[in-house]
Amino acid sequence: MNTTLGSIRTLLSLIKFELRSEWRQQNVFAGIFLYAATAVFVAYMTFRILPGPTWVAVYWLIMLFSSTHAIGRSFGSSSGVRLLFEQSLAAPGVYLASKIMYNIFLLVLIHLLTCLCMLVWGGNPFQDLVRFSWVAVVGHIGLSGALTLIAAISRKASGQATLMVVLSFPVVMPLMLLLIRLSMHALDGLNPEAGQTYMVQLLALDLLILSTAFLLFPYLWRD
Amino acid sequence: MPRLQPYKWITLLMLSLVIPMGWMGEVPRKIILNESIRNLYFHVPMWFGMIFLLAASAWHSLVYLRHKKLQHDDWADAYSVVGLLFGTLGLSTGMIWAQFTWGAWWSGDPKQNASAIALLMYLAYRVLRNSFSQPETRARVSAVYNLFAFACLIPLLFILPRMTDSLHPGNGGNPGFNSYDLDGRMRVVFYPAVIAFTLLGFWLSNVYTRLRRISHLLQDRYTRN
Repeated sequence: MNTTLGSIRTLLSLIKFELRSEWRQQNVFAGIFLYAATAVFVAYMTFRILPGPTWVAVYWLIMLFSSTHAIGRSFGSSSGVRLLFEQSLAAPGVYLASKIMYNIFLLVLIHLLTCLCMLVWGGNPFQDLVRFSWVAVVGHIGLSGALTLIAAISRKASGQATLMVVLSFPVVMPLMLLLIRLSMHALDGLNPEAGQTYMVQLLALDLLILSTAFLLFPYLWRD
Repeated sequence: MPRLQPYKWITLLMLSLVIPMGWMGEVPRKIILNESIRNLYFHVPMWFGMIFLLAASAWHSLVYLRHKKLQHDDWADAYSVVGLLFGTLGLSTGMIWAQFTWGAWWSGDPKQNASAIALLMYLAYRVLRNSFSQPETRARVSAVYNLFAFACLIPLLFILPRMTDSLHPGNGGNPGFNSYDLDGRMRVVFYPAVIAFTLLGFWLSNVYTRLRRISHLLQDRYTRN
């Protein structure tokens, strides 16, 4: 019991630590958000009025690129000394959980910003915007899990940025296919029951990704 | 007589039966499909072979992470290379078939898309392997990626293609290979073809691993002198 409480406390303080140190380097945050906003603006300048399916496609493309960009640095930014310090504080599972939760938070922020920009510039083609947001958030859990593990892997391979993209895009593709399908449902305002099997599959995929990430991460832990 | 392990004799025997029978054996006459129905003997075994080889690769990665013996990494490497070869052959035989029956090399069919993504995953695995200089780190990190990719491959190949209608045999109301009047004449060739090509894949991996081992030895000798 005590150890569970202890590890929850470590988890929270790791997240707080991450948040605070990221907040201090505000250019990083600003960079990520500007990346998303610029991408949306380029899409808007190209299409002017975004028809529904294009809206969804552009949104997920921007999400995919800015999330790989944002999460790709989640192990790279910490220096060797800080990494060692953090690793001596927590068990691998707790450490990974803190990273994944922080990244989910980051993805939700990027999602809100991208959505806002796209709604302002591209209009709102959705019949059911709330459902789209829920689908996106459930997707971000899996996306964050997969990308965090890949970030740890590419960090081990001397952290080249291209490697992150090459390794992560094919792996998150099943997730993307489901997310695009569910977003289309929200676009057309279909009865939620019509998308129930897809929702179950999305949750199952999230679970699969997270459990494999937690099983495999300890092997990337220390040299 | 060369001395070969029994499974290699079985492979040779079955392939020498399957290949001539595949090209010349009796097949049901079907409109549109015509003679292209023979692709069943070559295209489908490639996918079976790929799945078994990639599973073997994932298994060796798992064993590597448990026991940290570099030979398991060599095996994982070999199986993934041959799996990739089988996947490429499966995709290209499928594309040629699709051109003459569906009318396009690529038609956005869910199975085509899924297999393209699967190939991308394992090509990424090759890229990852090549970006390390230290064998132990390479073995450990690429084993992690291999297992993760395999875990993502299962929903990709077995769940997602079933979500949408497709022209692919066995999907969306199209007859699968079981109902292609897969009468005795075709079964007798198809099942041995699956077994023979899968075994051939394992044989190829075996040769590949031995080649790698020799090149390791030569490299050691070269660097020592």
